[in-house]
Amino acid sequence: MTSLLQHWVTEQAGRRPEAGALVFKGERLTYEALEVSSNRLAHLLKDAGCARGDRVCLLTPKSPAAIVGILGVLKADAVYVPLDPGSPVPRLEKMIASCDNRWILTSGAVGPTLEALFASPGFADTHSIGWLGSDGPPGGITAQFCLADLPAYPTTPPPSTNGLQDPAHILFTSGSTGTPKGVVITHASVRRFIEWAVSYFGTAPTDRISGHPPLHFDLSTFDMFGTFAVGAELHLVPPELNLLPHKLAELIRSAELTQWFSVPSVLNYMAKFDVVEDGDFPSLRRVLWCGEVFPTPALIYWMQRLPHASFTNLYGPTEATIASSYYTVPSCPVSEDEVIPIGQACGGEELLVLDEALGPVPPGEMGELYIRGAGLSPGYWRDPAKTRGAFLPYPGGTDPGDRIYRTGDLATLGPDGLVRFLGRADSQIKTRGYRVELGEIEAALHTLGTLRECAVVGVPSQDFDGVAICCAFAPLAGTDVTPVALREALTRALPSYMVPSRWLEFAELPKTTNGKIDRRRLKELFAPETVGAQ
Amino acid sequence: MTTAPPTPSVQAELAVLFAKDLHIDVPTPETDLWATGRLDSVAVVELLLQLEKRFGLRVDMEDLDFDHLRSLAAIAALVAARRNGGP
Repeated sequence: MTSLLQHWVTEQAGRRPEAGALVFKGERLTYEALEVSSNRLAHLLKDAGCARGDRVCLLTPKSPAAIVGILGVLKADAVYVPLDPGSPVPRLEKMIASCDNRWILTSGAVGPTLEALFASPGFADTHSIGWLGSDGPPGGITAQFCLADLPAYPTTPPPSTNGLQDPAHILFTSGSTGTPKGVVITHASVRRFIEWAVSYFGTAPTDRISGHPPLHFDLSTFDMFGTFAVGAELHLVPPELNLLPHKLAELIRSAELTQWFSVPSVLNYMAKFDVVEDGDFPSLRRVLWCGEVFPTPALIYWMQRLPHASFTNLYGPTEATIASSYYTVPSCPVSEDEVIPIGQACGGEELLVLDEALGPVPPGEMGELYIRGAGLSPGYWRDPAKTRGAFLPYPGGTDPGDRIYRTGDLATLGPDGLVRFLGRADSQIKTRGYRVELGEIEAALHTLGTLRECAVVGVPSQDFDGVAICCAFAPLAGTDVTPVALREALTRALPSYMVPSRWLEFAELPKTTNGKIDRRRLKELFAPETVGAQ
Repeated sequence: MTTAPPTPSVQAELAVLFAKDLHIDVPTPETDLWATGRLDSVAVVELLLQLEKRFGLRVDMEDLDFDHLRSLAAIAALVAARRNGGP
């Protein structure tokens, strides 16, 4: 009887214990091994005082041990909170503080980060480390337990009282005022999407599925649970391969992957360096992307080379769980200008294109896109005001649980029943699949105290990263500020994907007639042909 | 990986390239560019462009291994090896 996310693993371990569940850099974990380790970890966590609903932070690079960690937390009826180990300490501190948690499960090259976190007054009194690495924890770090302690615990699952409406994880996304927002996701929402997806895609036990996105990215939950739901094999993609497109292609070839799912910038990068041969990846049956627009020329590149694979665009914000709409491209686009729709709603979801009064706009006209249905998050973690602002009652609905989520995306609903994405209603951008609030970057720049004025704009990139983040700045009088120094300072406050890649210095930023910073003018100045080598 | 001794002048030139062209500050030649989040795919593409522009050195992506990009010292070794006609 499968009901919670972790039960899929238990079920597969009972049915096909020796089948491969996880592969990573030559390491292979069977369903039985995954089940036993995660059961033991759950017992250990409960013994250590981890109670139902407690938040457990994961600060670890993608690895089989990290997946054991996720399942162990769920089996302890707790909530996992995956954090980006590459995120700067001040940002991590905000997220950890908001989780109000005790446990941090961690591994990898996180020594300096942990030292900095534990240097904060009081942090060590309220937080404990569980070390998931096969090596010992770094010097100076005390772990309350480590993997070597697991064999002392029972191999069967501990008793559980969680239900489908309980949260499974909290995922943080960029917030416009400088503080990341925690999106609470329930077992029911993930389960609902996975059931639709494995049925739609026909996922089978023989599938070998890519695990490309990092664990703090909600697409990773589709890879994990979409694999475990059917007893397939998840191949975690080492993140450093993202630098080298030919190595990504080699991995798809040698692992004989049957499904690839990533943000478009990765597919675009591989196309740019022409690493895909005609008829390449003969095992690959499905290519999926989500997170941002996949440029049509790169889609054509892929579809021409892989006539044996299907190509599906998924769309949806974290707040509505993994994806809310899909569009499988029926045939290779003829023109490079063709707009690929975000398509139609996934099972159990509804897409609504509404005007400002929350009334439907006529077909073909632009409106704001709202999502209704099974994927909706209960809201932002301990932030009722932000929750009320983004999750609204369904217009005309009678059930208070019937809500719609305001995506902030502009879209049209065509007469063909397909939704097309047109842009953003605010200053959020997508870069390499990450949601970035430009306001969060500006807030970080202002706190440096060296700038009189600054503005951050997103400019469509000629390259593969989608949108380039561009910063225009005017230093305070008498201060010497360089892009290198600003960039270095920002890397201490923001994750690297949020750090601007293009910079322009001004004595004073250009203004509109009503005295506001002229962002339209700045975008023109940052357009690729005028930037060049500066 | 070929282990031609990285020359200090190449390292210095690379440090300039990183600062001026990529806007990336690299504290030491041994700083791990990946682990410290300094290098991403966009920076790799720009690096290959600038190696050609500043050093007249054409490095094909397909010849690159992850170890070539670990640090300024590693990139300097790559540049030195290519100049000596290495792989």
